[in-house]
Amino acid sequence: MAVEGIADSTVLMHGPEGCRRNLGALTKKVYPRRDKSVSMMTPYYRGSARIPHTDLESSDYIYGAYDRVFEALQYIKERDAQFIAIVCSPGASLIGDDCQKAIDENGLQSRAIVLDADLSSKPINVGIDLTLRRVLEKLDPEAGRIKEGTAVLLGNHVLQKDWESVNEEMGRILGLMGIEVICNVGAGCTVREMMESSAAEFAIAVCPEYARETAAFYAERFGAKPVIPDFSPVGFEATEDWIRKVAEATRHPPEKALDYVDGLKKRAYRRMLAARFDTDAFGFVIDAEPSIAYPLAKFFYDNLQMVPKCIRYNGISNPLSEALVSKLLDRIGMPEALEVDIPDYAEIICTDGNTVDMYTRSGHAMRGVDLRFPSMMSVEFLQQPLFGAQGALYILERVINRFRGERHGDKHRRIGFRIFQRACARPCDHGPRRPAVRLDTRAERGRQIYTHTLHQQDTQARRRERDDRRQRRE
Amino acid sequence: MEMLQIAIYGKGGIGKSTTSSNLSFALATRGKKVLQVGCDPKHDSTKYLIEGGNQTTVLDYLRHTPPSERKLEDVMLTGAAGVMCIEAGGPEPGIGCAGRGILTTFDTIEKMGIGDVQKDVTLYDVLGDVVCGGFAVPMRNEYADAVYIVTSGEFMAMYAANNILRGLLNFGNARPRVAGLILNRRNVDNERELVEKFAKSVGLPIVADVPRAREYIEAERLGKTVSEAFPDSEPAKIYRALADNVVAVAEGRGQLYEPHPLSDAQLNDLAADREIAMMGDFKREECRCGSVRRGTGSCASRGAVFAAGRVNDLPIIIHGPASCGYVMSHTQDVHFLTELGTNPNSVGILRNNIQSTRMSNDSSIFGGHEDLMRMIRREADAGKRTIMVITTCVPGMIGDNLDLIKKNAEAECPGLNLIVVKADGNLTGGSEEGRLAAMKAILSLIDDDVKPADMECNVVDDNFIIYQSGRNSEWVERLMADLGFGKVHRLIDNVSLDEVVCSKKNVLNVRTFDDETVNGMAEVLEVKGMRVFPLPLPKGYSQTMEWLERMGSEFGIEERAAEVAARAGADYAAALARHRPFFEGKTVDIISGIFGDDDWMVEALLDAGCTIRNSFRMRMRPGGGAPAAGRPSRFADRINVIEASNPMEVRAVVEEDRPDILIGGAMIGWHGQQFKEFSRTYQCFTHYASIEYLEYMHSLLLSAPDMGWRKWNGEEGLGHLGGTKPPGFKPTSRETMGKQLITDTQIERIKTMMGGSIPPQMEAGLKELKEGRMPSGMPQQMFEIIKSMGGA
Repeated sequence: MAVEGIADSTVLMHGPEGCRRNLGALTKKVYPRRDKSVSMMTPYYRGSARIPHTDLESSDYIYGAYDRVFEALQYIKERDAQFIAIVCSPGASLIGDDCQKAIDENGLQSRAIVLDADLSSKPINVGIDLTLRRVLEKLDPEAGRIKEGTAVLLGNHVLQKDWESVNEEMGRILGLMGIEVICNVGAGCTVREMMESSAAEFAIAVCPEYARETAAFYAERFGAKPVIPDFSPVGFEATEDWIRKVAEATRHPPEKALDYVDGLKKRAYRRMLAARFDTDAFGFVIDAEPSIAYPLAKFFYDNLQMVPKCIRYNGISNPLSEALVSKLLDRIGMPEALEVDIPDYAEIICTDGNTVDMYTRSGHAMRGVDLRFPSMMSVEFLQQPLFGAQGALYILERVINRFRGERHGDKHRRIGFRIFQRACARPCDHGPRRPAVRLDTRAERGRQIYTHTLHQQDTQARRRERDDRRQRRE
Repeated sequence: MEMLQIAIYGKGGIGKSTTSSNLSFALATRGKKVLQVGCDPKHDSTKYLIEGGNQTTVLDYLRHTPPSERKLEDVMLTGAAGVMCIEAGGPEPGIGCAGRGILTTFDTIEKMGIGDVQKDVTLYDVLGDVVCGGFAVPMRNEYADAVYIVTSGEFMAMYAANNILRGLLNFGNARPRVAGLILNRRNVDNERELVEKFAKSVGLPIVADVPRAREYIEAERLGKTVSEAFPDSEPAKIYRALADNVVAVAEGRGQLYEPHPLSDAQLNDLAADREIAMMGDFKREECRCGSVRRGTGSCASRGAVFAAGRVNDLPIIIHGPASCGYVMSHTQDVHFLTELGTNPNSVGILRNNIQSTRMSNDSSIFGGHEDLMRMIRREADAGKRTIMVITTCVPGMIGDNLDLIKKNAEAECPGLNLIVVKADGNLTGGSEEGRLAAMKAILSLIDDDVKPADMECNVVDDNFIIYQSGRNSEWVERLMADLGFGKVHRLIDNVSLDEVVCSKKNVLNVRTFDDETVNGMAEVLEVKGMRVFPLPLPKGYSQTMEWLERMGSEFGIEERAAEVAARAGADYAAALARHRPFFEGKTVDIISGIFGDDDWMVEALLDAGCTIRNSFRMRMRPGGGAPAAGRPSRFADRINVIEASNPMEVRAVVEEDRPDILIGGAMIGWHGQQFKEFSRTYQCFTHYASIEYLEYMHSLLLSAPDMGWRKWNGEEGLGHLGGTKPPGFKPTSRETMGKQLITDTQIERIKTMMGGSIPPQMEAGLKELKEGRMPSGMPQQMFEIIKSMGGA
C-alpha cells in the first residue's frame, strides 16, 4: 500500500489472483484514480486496474515462475507507470525466483525494485515505513540546496482516513506556520515530487509509527531535520500541542495555526450548545496506532466524559505513545482496558471503516469513527480527515450525531427498527405468503442490547448515576 | 585487488566445507581479508576455522532477537588467520524450508551492514546440488563473481556438478563465471581420467586435485583445518595453490568460463564410460514470451474460509501469514456488508470467527507447528470443541504435517474435533475447490441418525452470494411458504454448528444452482440419506412453472402447486401487459459472463416483445480451466448465441449493431456513452425475478441517456477501452464473428510447414480460430506466422 500511495507507480504482485484481488479492490477504493481501462481479458490486470499480478498456478511453486515475472514486467512497463515495485506473495517468496534479474533484463533498473519478503506478518506500519525508505533509496534523489521553510510530510498513507484531506489540512496548518509541504511522501505524491523532496528543510511526521525510517532517510541523506512528535494531531488539544511541538522544533511561529484551530474549536463549541448529546459514560473502543489512540482517548475522556473499554494497538508498537496511553488509563483507573478483547458491546467503536460498519450494523456498537479506510459500502464525498482541527470536527460529527449519519446511523436505525418490529409482530401479521423470520441468537442479543441502549438514559439507574457524577463534580 | 565473491558448490558430502575453510585459511595467510558464509542448515562450514566452537547461526539469531537489537558481530566470529565466519543455519531436517532460510540470511546480513565490512574475498559454501531457488541465491549475478565446483570421480558427484552448471546457465550469461572444477579425491578407480573426461566435455579446467590424506582426520581431532594444523602437508600446498588461483581471478589474471552443461543423454554416456556424443550445448531455458498460462484464478484457502466462515460459531484458524488472515476476513466483511446493503431482508451478524496463525518469515523457515498448536490450545481452553484449520500455501510448501498436528491436538485436548482443510492456497486449486472442501468437511458433521420430520427446507449452496443478492431469498421463501413449507434454512449460511448437525430433520434439500460445487455438496447429502430435489431453484417464469409442477408431484401437493402456478402465471401476464408497449420492437444485445445462465432474462425480454440480436457468451479464460459461460441456451434457435473471448471483438460487433438496449456492457469494459447500457442482475430466482426485471428495464428506458457525472472530468467518460488492443489488431466484423477464422486445410498446411508438430498453445489457438474466436492468449508473433501461412 506504500507504493500504491505514489500516484504514478504500480505494484506487481508476484503471486496468484487470490492474493491480490482484495488488495486491488481496497486500493481502488482508497485511492480512486483514472487508470487505463482494463477488462477481464487484460493480461495481468484481469479486470482490476490496480495491482497487476503474475497469476501463479500450482506447478509454478515447483518449477519456478521467472517467466511470469519477466513477461508481466514487459507488459506493465508500457502502461505509464513511472515506478514499479515487485511484491512477492508469501507463497511466491518461498520459490526464490530472481525478480531482480527480470528487472535487469527488462531494462528497469532505475525504476523498479523488489520488495522484502521477510516482512510477512509484520505490522502494517513497518511495511509502509520501510518500503517508502526503500523506494526513496532506489530513486536516490540528488542532494541539492535546502529550500528554507519547506518540509516533507511523513506518516500519512492511503489507508489513513481520508488521506487526501489530511494532506490538505496539515498543509493548511503548516502553511499558516510558514512551512510549505513540498511532498506528501507515500500519500498521493508523484515520483517527480519524491525526487525533488531532497530540498526539504524538515521531515515532519503526522503519525510517527509510519515515519521513523523515512524521516531517518531524509536526515541522513539530505540533512532534513526530523520533527516527530510522540502523538498525532487528533482532536483539538492534541492538534494544538502538535503545532507547538512543530513550532518549537522548526522555530516557525505557531500563532496563526493556533488561531485557525481555535476558530474551528469555537465553531464546535457553538454547535455543542445546540446538541442533544448523550455521550457521558459511553464506553469506547479504540483499535489504532498508539500515537492516535492516546490523543483520541484523551479527547473522548476529557471533553465528552466517555470511558475507555478497550484500547488496542493491533501489533503496532510505539513505546513513547504507549507510555502516554498507560499513564492516561492509570489516571482514569482503567488500566485493564489495555490490549483486551473488544467487548461484546460498546457505544463507540473506533477502527477501520469495515469493522465499524460491521459492529454498528450488527448492534454491537451504537456509533463508530472510521480511523482508517472507510467501509467498502460507503463513498465519502465530504472531507473527513482524522487529523487537525477538521479532524476534530469529523470525530465529533460521528460521535455526537445519533442516527443522523447517512451511512451507519440511518442503516442502524432501520435494522434496529426492523428487528424490533419483527420481534413484536404476531406471526400472522405478514399473511401466509411471508414466512416467519427467525431471529438468530446474535441478532437477538444485539436487539436486546440495542433496545436497552435506546432507553437506558431514561432509566432510574442511569439518572442516579448521572446525579452522582454531577454531585462529584460540584 | 578488487573484492571478489566466490561460491563453492558441489554434491552433499563431497567436501565443500573442508575445501572452503582450507581455501579461506590459505587466502587469509596470503594477507587477504576473508569472509566465509556457510549456507548449509547443518551449519558446520566454518567449524574448523573456529576450533570446533559453537557459532550462533543467522536464522537462530533472527528468531530470538528483535530487529532493533541485531548486531552483525553477534553472528560473525573471527576464526583462524582472521577469517570472518558466518553460518546461515536452518531448520531441522524434514521441517520448514531451508531454501527460504538462505534467502533470508542474505537479506539479513546485508541489512546488518555486511556491505560495510572491509574484505577482499567473500566465500559462500553452499549445500549440495541446486535444489531450489533459495540455494541458488549465491549463484545470482549480484553475488558470486566466480563459482568453483567440487567433484570426485563418482558419477553422482559429476551429475551434481552438471546440475550446478545448468543452474548457472539459468541465471543468465552476462559474463563467464565458472572458475573450474576442484577434484576432491575419493579413491575411485581412474578418478583423474573420469573427471578429466567430464571437465573436457563441459569445457572447464581442473583447478585443484586434492588427494585423500590421513592429516585430515588428525586436523579434525584438533578442531583445525588441515592447512592450519599441517601447513607442510600435501593438501595444504594444494589449497595454497588454489588460493593463488582465486587471487589471480580477483586480479583479472585468471580465466573464467561460461557454463556448458551436458544433456541427459551425454550424462548417460559419461555414466556408461562411453565416448560422450557431441550434441551441441545444453540450451538455457529461454523465457517463453507469450507462453505464460493463466493461473488457477483465486485461492482455495480463500474459498474455504469464505464458505466455512458462514457457520456462526465455528472458530476458523487460517494457518498462514497475517496478511492472508486479513485479506480473507476482509473479503468476508465486504460480502456481508454487500448483503446488508442490497438485501432488504438480511440482518447484520458479527461473527469474528476467523483468525490466523500469523506465520512469520521464521515460521516459513522452521515450520509453523508451534504457532498452530498454540492457537488450537487457546481455542480449546476457551471451550471450543470443534475447530477448523484451513491451510494456506506457506504450510503447503514447507510441508507442515497437519495430520500429525490433528492427532497431537486431539490427544492433548480430549473431546476436541479438529477439522483440517488442506486448501494450501492455490496449490490445490481455486476458490471453488476450497469452498467444496470446506463444505464437505462441515456437512460430514450432519447426524445420520436424525429423521426427517419438519416440513422445512434446506437451500444448499457453497457461498450464497447470489441467493442473498437483492430480494432472491425473499422470493424463494415466499414460494416455499406458498407450497406449505415452513422455514427455509440456508445450508450453509448463518447457522450454528448444532443446526448443521441436525439439518437432516428438514424434509427437503434444494440446490441453488446446477454447478459442480453445489452438486458436490448434494452428493454428500445424498450419502447421508437426505432427499435432494432434482431441480435447482427456478430462475424466471418458465423454470418456476416447471419447478412447481415437479414439486407438486414429488411431494403429493399437486393441487397446491397448481394454485401457486396459476397465481404466478397471472402475475407474470399482468406484468407483460403493463410493459409490452414500451418494449415492443426494441433491439437487444446481451453479454453474459461466468454466471451465464441468462435464459430467464432472455425469456422475459422476448415475451415483452423485444428482438434479441446477439447473446455473447464470454469465455473468461481462453485455454484455461473454466468452461464457457453457462449451459446451452434454450433460445438458441431464436437468437444468435455467440461464444466470444475477446472483448474487443464483441465491442466491434456491438458498435456496428447499435442495439436499443445493451445488457452486461461492463463485461467488456463498456459504460454508457453512445447508447444506454443495462446491468445484468443477479436477482434471478422464481417468476418474481422476471417481473422485477421488466420493471427495472422499463424504468431505465425512461431515464436519461447516460450518467452525466462521467463528463465531470472534462473527458469523454469511462467508456474508452485503453490498452487492451494488441498491436495491429483489426476488429472482427459481424460477418466473421462466430464463423470459422481458419479452415482445416489451412491448419493442415501450417502443421506440415512446421514439420508435423506444433506447440500446444498454438494448437489451442488454432482450435479457437477454427471455432470462430480470436485466441487472445496467443502472442502476436504467432498470429503473424499463421497469417503468413494463410490463416485469417
